[in-house]
Amino acid sequence: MIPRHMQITLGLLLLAFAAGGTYMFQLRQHDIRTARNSSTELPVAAPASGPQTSVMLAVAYDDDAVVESRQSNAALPPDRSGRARELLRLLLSNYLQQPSPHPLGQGSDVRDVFVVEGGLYVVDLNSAFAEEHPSGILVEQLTLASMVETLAANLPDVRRVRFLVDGKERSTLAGHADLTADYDAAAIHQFISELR
Amino acid sequence: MPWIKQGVTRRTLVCIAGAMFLLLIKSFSAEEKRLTVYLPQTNFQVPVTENAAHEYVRLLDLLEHFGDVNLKAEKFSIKLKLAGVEGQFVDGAQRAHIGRATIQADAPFRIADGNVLAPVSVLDQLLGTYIKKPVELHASGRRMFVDGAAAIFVADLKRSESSTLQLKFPLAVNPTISTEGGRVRLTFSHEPVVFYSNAIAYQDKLISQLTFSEQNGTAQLDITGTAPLMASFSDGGRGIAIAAVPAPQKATATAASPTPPPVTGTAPAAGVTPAPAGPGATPVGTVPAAPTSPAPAANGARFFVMIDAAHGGDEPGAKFTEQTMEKDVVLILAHRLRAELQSHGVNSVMLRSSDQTLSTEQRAVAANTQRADLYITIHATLAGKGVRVYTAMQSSAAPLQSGPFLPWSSAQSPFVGRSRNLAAAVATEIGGKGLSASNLGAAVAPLNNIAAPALALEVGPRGLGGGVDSLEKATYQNLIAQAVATAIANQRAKPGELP
Repeated sequence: MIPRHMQITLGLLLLAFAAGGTYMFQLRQHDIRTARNSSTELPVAAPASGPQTSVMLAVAYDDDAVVESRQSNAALPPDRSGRARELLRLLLSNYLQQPSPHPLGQGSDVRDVFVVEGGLYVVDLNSAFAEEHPSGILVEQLTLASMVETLAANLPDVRRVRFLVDGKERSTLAGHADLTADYDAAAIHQFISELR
Repeated sequence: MPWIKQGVTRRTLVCIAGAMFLLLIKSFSAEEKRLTVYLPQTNFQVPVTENAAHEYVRLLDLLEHFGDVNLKAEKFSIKLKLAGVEGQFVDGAQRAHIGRATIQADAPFRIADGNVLAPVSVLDQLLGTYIKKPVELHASGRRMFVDGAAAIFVADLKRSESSTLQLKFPLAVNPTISTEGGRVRLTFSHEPVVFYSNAIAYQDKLISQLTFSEQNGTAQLDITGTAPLMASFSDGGRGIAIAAVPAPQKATATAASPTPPPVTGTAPAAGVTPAPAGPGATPVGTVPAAPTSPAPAANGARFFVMIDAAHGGDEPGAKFTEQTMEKDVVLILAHRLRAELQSHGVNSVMLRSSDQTLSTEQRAVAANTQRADLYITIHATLAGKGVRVYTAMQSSAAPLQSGPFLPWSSAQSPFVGRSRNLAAAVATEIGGKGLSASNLGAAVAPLNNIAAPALALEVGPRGLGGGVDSLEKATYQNLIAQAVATAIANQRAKPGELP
């Protein structure tokens, strides 16, 4: 016959064990969720190894409706396509952080950048970029202008930029900005100047 | 005195009989109150009752039109379940719980005869929560529009010796028409028609005023004129023309006042004629009177502005709140601009006047094929403040094309210079109204594809951080519409700017 006080102690121990197990399980689930989200929300940053170079990012600020230049350092791949892709991903990482000067939808990313003769750069955005992008003429123009200006400021041969979404042409980014035409780097520079 | 008693009795009986007769007459003549509910494909009416100065609808009568309703009655409460959403209503309570939402009413819910009496004023919230679709309630007129059923119509005054008021509806209509001297009344009992203004006053020899009202589940349109008027249908019931009654062929000199003939039958649809409006229309009520009214083109040119209320239908644009979307805000603004242009003697055409889905390519095709002389697309945003006027981001130095064809992607090139001049004039005029305005070149669809001077307006709140309320204010929208219309009229007067 087990004494009554021993029964109570054993019961309390079992209860504490069950509660602790549940808490540990929830903590683990939370870690898994956090790790999964962080891997999908932010684009892959530029590789950490290799020589760091100074780059100029044209960062859009919604509150002031301007695009401002900001110096940064990054290790960039040697090829033009890879450099363009990593530059844009570095720019997007500014927009996807909290707080953001120009919030974009979660999961926005640049899939690839193709370089065509004649200074044409074709930027392939992922579907989340377009589907989750805030809707409005100015906010869409700010996004595209900052991307074009960032490319033109760091890659001297950029003349025009065209945007695709998931490898296909799309009429507008989020209902306003025209994606059927090429964006002229000089015209975008003028647009940014007019914003100031 | 038996004769007195007999007389009193007789008089009493006569009085009672008279009172009963009056009550009977009153009961027959009293108009039954009803709420009309419009759905995209159909409509129905539910009776409205009054209790303690508040109007009520039997909720079960309303909900059963949207599916099977499961009712659970308890002593002082009723649970109504529709499409998996359960609502609980307690007798005398001003709050009801539907799903996870709480609806606060301005009058208590009532339980009577195993049914819920719900205040009319919260029916849009109640129904919207149950069916998860947008519901718009016009409580004073007892009209409710479900899932974007409201059909906005437009009125164009065609000026001539004998002016004609053209009413264009997005759907075929069949109103009851009554005429009385210089007034025509159209009563819409089943059509979900709505108008953007309560009244428009015309400075015209024949048509003097148009008023729109909603009452007891119907919409009424009254057109008054200085001479007897008649109405005739066209375009398969989508158009109604209000004009003067034709003068009699033979002078009989007998009729003191001519009797309007009955409404004529359906006329064949007219072709696309993009020159609908005449000058002199001054909206009153929600839209203030315009200050000036320049004379129309003396040569009778068909100059017209194509107003494009951006987005629409399945493409709502920016979503400002759960209920308010960019497509709705810009449609009202487009109507206001149209009224202002009319008052400045500038013809205009609305590219969409209801909740239609149109691609940017379709919009450009419509503007180009109808040969619009000026294209304005209207957008709205909560970002920034004031109005931003955009023109196409193309180089004006681009080679001009010769011949009848223009490249689709650069159709705007030959017109960029004039577009920019007009944009500057519009921004200046808006600035003159004390509003923030800027003028930019940007790649806004479909400006590049328009073969005419083209602008995009993006209207933001009046001040930084202003919400959708600021954006929707009639006074603010009217200021913008006036400024844009004035700039267009002034620019048109300059040689070489606008045709």
